[in-house]
Amino acid sequence: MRIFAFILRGIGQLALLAFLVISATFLMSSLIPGDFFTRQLLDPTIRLETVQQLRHHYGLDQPVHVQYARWLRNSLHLDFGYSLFYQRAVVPIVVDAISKTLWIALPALVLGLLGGIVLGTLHGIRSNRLEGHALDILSTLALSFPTLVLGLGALILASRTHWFPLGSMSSINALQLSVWQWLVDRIRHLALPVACLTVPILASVERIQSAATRTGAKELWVRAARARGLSSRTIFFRHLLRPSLNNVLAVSGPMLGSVLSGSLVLEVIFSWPGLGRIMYDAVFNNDLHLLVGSAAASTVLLVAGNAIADLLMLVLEPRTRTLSQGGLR
Amino acid sequence: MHPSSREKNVAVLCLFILVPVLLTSAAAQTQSANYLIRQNLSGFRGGDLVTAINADPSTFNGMMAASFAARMVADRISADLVHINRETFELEPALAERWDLAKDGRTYTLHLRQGVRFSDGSPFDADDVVFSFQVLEDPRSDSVLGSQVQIDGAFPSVSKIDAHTVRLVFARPVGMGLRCLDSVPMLPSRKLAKAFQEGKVASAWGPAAQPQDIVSLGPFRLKEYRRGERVVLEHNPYYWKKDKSGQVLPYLDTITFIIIPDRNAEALRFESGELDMVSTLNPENYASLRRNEKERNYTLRDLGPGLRVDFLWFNLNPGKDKSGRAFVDPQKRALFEQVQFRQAVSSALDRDGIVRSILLGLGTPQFGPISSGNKPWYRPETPRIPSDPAHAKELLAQAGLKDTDGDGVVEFGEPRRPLEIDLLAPRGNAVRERTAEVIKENLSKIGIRINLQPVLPNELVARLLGSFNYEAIVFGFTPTDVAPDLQIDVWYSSGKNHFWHPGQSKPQRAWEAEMDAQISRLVHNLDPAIRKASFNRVQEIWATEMPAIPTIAPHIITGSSNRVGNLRPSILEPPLLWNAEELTKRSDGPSGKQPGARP
Repeated sequence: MRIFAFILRGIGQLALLAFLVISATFLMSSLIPGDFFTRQLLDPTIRLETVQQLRHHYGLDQPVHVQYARWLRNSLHLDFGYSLFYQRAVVPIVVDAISKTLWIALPALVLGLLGGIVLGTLHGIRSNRLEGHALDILSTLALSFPTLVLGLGALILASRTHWFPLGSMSSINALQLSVWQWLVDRIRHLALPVACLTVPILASVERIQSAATRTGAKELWVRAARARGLSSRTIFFRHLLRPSLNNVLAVSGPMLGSVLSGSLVLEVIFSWPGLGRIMYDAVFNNDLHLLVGSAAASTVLLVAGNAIADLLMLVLEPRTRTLSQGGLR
Repeated sequence: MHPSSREKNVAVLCLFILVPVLLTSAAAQTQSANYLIRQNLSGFRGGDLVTAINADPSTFNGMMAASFAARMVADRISADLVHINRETFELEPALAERWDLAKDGRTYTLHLRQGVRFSDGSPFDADDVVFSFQVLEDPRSDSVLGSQVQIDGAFPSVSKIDAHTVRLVFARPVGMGLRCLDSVPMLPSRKLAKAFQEGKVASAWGPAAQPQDIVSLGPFRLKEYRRGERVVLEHNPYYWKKDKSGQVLPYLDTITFIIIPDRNAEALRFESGELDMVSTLNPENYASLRRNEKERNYTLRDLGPGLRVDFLWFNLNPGKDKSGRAFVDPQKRALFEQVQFRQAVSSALDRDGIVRSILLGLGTPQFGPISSGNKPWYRPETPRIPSDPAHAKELLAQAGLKDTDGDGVVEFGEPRRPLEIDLLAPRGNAVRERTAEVIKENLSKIGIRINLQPVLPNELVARLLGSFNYEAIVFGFTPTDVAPDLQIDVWYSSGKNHFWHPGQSKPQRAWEAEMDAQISRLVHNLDPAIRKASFNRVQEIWATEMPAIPTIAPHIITGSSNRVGNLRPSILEPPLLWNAEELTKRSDGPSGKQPGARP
């Protein structure tokens, strides 16, 4: 019942947030001078009347509030507009793009979280040893490099070594490959963008986990467990590791936001046709409906990620359930 | 055993039946397409060419293709009635094998190539030509090419004379002739008639269309499109061109366009051998790729200045906005109107420095309204104002500008105040942004203070052509053809692209009136000598009055794998793919088979 109520609340929050994001995107886009057809005015072979006609045909000559009202009305029928850049309805483009972004986002999240937890725990336990100091330096370095620099560096490495493809989702002859060959081809194309996206996640999670482990090792219940003569293995897994994961769980939801923003840069560099790419196309070409649709999709993904993280916290951390009912008992 | 008389009769009967059938079929084959023969061309079938485009094509219909990516793909699958040879810049027959011009100078009779078929095998005839022009003219089609074909705002009337003859009648004689029909694709009436009647032809060949629904006349046809990834074109078996040995073109089996939005990534993938060609390299990538040219088996080419020229101009528009405020401070505008001021600015610019430092030597200084790369129309004798800061200061003094208080900035107006000018530059365009910085530095040496304002491209265009809210700007445009006729909106004072003061109801300046007269003479006259003389005069006026001060023209830099043959690079777009049907590609290494005609 508690969880059901939580889910209902989450859906309500999602709807409200999506509405706010869409409205804000519409408003901000209206502040950008010009529209999708503005740049065609620069072409001396295109007449002003042609551009005006195109604007009228697509309703871009209407005031922003009229366009917004029309868009809202159509969205009630699940019509989220038409992309002038891709010349088709926004929904199939965004859905397709999300599926492609998830190819790099999910592995990056999983690898980043798992790797960060493992390395962070190791760092926390051995913080005063060589491996602890090495991890400290490495995680600092990893966090210092912007995703753009990581991506370009990976591209240059690939071009020099030929170990990995230089972009795209698959090889040109992918359709002629067997299932196994196709899978290997896809993994090779995923390797670099996933690695670049994993590095900052792993570094962030590693630092959070190492701090939580160091703190947890000093907690009373751990000392008490040692005093009771419990095995190191039991102490580690039940009394140290599990509580320390709360901090990582707490940030894993918002981490999806950083994954999505990082993926925008990488998708352009690696020619990966995901959500970030279509947002880039939408902004660069002033494609209003595509911009609103992709912004709304990002919001949905972000809120969904946060909701999943909160749900996991509810399940894994009993104290959260008590707190959610209004205080400790 | 000898055949019986019955058997003999059966044999004779079979001969009487078979021979006419065979003769008829042979006759049918000799009545197949009236091929266009490329007399100097030879090559071999086979090969898969891989290149890149920077975005998804928004349509596969050349009639509606506005973006570079869409045109790159659509122009490879479609064909026009007449076509500009990108190497010689001459107009050549295409689907129309010849045409006649009536004595009135505005009526063209086009004789279509017979036996031509669309990529699905259906026949092409005059009905398709009439239909194509109907689509072009219809506002529901969203066609950007319509503007190219309109003369004085009117489309030519198109009528069918017979199955292979059409007549085009323009409102008046057209100086550039049928050049305006270059790249205007002929569409299949049978396939698109229904969509046209429903007003849906604009979206009929959109990205969601099935390849088999896109029926066209070009050397290739659509095989596969994966959003954000690639477009694959395959050989059109019904194409209507042959080489000198009778081999039907195109030679290539496929062309794959990989969608790569980032130019640096494109250059890297070319260097690694994944791409067979790259059409426009920036100077930095060119310098980087040169190191491995021999080792990686590719060739880089500097084709010289393209048609694009970057300009610096001042807002001469005397108008006011809705609140009654002048677009430009009237005293500043009065200064901008003085030809000595504009000449002084031109004289202060270090164009060689811009080419050296920003384009790494891969550019050419410009002094006229068109690029020196436009060989058929460029006038080398056009006077040039020498690059000389001292001379620039003298010209400023003639315009009444002096630095009286010794602060390094000249004063102007009443009361006297330092001359500061806001200069817009397009953010994100590295060449123009850095050019603006060099201009700022150059003009500071003659006492003009520049406030640089990089703005996003859409905002820049909106201010340039919408609100006219700017003082000076660094910008330019890239003509699609060498003939100046297609840029009349720039030359005419009433044109929307007469950037420094667009949309004039009548020319405000004597030199603009003369330019209008010369341009009118250019576009109305069929005599090439008169046309050339008219535009020469326009170039002289421009070089003196400097309404927009030319700076530089970047060079066209291309790269191609040495396995690709029959390349004829051009400064017109697309530099390497304009003759895609003639290209060959060796499938093996550099020491592989030599090209030769092969059925």
